[in-house]
Amino acid sequence: MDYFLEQLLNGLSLGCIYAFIALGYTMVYGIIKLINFAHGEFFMVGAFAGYFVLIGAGVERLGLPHPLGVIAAAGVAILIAALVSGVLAVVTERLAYRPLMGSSRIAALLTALGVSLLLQNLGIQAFTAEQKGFPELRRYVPAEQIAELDGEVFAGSAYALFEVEASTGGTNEIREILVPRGEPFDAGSFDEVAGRQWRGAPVAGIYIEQNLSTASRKWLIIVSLAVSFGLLNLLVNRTDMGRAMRAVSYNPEAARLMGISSGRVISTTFFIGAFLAGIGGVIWGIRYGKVEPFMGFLPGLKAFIAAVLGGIGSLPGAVLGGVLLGVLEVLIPAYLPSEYTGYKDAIAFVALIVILLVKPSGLLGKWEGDKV
Amino acid sequence: MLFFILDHCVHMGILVILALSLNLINGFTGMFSLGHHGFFAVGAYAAGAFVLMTLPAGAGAFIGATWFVLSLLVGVVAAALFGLVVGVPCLRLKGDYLAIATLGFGEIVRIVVQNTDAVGGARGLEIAYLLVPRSVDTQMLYVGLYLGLTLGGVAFTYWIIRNLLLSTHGRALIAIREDEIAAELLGVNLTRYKVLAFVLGAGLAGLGGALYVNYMTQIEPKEFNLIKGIYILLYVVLGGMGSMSGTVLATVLLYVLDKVVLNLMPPEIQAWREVMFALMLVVLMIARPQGLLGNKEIHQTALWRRIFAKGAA
Amino acid sequence: MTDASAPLLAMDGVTKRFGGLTAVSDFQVSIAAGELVGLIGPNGAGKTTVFNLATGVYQPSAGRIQVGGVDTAGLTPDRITAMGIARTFQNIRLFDEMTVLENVKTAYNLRAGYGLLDAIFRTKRFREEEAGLHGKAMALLETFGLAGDAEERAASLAYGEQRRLEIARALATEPRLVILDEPAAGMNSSETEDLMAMLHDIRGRFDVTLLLIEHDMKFIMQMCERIVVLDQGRIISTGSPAAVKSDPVVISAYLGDPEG
Repeated sequence: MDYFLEQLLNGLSLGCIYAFIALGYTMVYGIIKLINFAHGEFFMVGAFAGYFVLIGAGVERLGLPHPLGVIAAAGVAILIAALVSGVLAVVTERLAYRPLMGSSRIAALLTALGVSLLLQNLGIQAFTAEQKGFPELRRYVPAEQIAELDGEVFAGSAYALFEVEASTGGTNEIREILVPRGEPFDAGSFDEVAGRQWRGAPVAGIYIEQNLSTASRKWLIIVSLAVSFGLLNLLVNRTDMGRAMRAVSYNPEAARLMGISSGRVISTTFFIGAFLAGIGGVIWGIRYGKVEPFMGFLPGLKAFIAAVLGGIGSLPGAVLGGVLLGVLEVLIPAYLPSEYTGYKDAIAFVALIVILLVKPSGLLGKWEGDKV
Repeated sequence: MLFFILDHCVHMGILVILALSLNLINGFTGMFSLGHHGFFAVGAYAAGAFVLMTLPAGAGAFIGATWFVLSLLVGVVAAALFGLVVGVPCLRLKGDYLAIATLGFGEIVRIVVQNTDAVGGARGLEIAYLLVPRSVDTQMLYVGLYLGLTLGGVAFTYWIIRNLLLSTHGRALIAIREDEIAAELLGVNLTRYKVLAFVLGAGLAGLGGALYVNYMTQIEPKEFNLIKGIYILLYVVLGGMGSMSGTVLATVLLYVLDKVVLNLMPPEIQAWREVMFALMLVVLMIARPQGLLGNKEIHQTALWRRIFAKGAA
Repeated sequence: MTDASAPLLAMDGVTKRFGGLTAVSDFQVSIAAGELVGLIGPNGAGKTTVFNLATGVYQPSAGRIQVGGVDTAGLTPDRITAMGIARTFQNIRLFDEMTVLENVKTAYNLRAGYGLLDAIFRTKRFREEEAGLHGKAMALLETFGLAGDAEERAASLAYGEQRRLEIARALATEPRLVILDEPAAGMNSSETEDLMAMLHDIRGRFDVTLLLIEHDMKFIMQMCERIVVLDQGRIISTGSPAAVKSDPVVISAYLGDPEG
């Protein structure tokens, strides 16, 4: 039973990440009937944006009391990642999709495919194809305050920061483990380090990795999704923009006649969808610890499948589909003999084909027939 | 040097078979299939598995040749059957949904062969040389023979599709592309023709696969991935979805561009290869979605007429 | 096999529901060979839905539809067309990228007497059938004055010519009943006169029965022998043009003034 619950939690947290991506897919499809294949790449870009923010932005060093410092760092990373993804999405929409309004579906779909490949390969050019380890969330303690930590046991590694002008600007970190994990910190050992200098620069402070437990990471994901989905619902149902979005998705002509600028609504939809995907990207990094330029392709595809599963165009459907797919992807291989784990990725595609045959409008969707 | 040219021609020929067979489904019947790499894979792996598992030991030239022909048949039939498996459930699906469903089937094939040890799993499949062994001495004979066979395959594919298109059955397929509901109300049986397009398109892709596995004798699952499928689709779209000669032209052009022109460039430019192809796809769809020839065959274009028309038009 | 003595089309107690919306309710009509029947009603009355039901595009939620005495429940539209019903559309639905001739030839698909292998191997049967089919198609185009445009792209034709082509194409299926959905849409009065003359001509020449939807009242009153009036999915009146025109129920459904 424990095993089941643990796997269920795994599946739920994976499913929530799929849901973050699926929401954007379903929103864009609901409004302009386009499968934006590039959406998975917004997820990837968000993850990389978060990566760079966590490595270099130094939010931890602003001097906020612990644990606010750590939370702020994570929050800023997520926010910036989401904004970067959102802006990228709007740019893509304006450059690549808007010129195609009114062309055939195949043209639009192929363009989306092209944009997806383009972004993936630009990612390789920019970031190299190798996986990068996603940084741990960490807390910064300046040199003056180190003495207060004497005797504490840290959850993760601690390493020293030297204030050296690096060739690229900024300061240098030196990963010198000050204390083995689990042992109490000896402020005296730091004095020893403080006495050293590195290229003439003194120690500025130490970073302490927070090393969140795997369980708390999973709960973080689930809670973030719940909060985001709640806010999204408020946006869609209670604001003018949300009403405009719904109007355009039901009947673009009527919406235009009522003075709603569909261009702005569409751009906003792209922005919000990618915003969510960007959050999902950072959360993926926090949960799984690695990012690479191809990371968006398969999760993106599966997230679209999740959106179809739940009912394309339906926001609760995207969440339901995402969670369901995540749970299936984790639970099914967990109970099959190990030689079948390679088939894990096939689960999504099989589920897709089944739902398209049985109920193409999805679990929560409504079937719209053809007009003759 | 000649060898490399001929080797590239064999690869091009197989790609043309794949592109023509995809054009039958996407271009002429108007269905959006994104899983053609799956049919290619089924043909290659079925033919390869057949040879691997049934070829008698110490086979001589005659047995080899027989098994070659049989492996082609196996590849075609297996792929055609898979085309049936894909086509029937997808009958009611349109546009985006059909695209994703066929993509799903294509990926399922790749995942299955990747996890099936009997066909080599992720390491790939290797079979014996059936016709001519390939060594430094025989390589010209080898590539020449396979080039002949592949060109035969191309001609066969072109011939079948062309004869089909210029008949009532072809008109039915095009009618389905133009307006499915109007076609049905004129008596066209949608089920029969959609399935026909899938089965025939898949079977011909299987022919390409069977030729491929025999030529290469070593194949890996990752050669049959979605990227391959998208490349084939790009050839079809660039050539013009309703034009067979356009498909041939576009495949040759893009292949030469990719393998020849780019290889002559310095490595820094070569690294941007995929970016350029992706960009090409995007720009093409925005600027000229009908591709090079649209739905005309090459002899129907104004340019051709200007060059070749004798006397008064 | 259809029964020669049965009505060409018989709809009895036919109802069609889409989710919560009832588009057509308890519709009934019986059309015998040689008739010229009109179906009229305000916009949204359900007229096109009735046509879609008759041709198998929709399945009825209740009631029975018979073509030539044979129940059409569960049959796909291509089967029903084979039974002798052809149809044109409110928004012209030609095969734009095909030539005029190819549009018509497509209609012969259900009667073409050769299979795939014949086509691929270009057998004698193929060549003979195609030649016969070509001849019939050209003859049909001649009748409609479109033979000169045979090799033109269908989309390049003028609007009136496109309408004629659509009718010609429908006739190529060799039907007994032709259903026309607003054939005079977008036409001025002289084009409408020509259309009326053409339809009368077709009736005699091809021995077909006609069922029309039209909004143009003058057209309907002059052409049709019998009229069925639909409003909000229900029949509110049937009878001769004169009777229907003066029926107060019909007049109030149209808010007093029939058009034309």
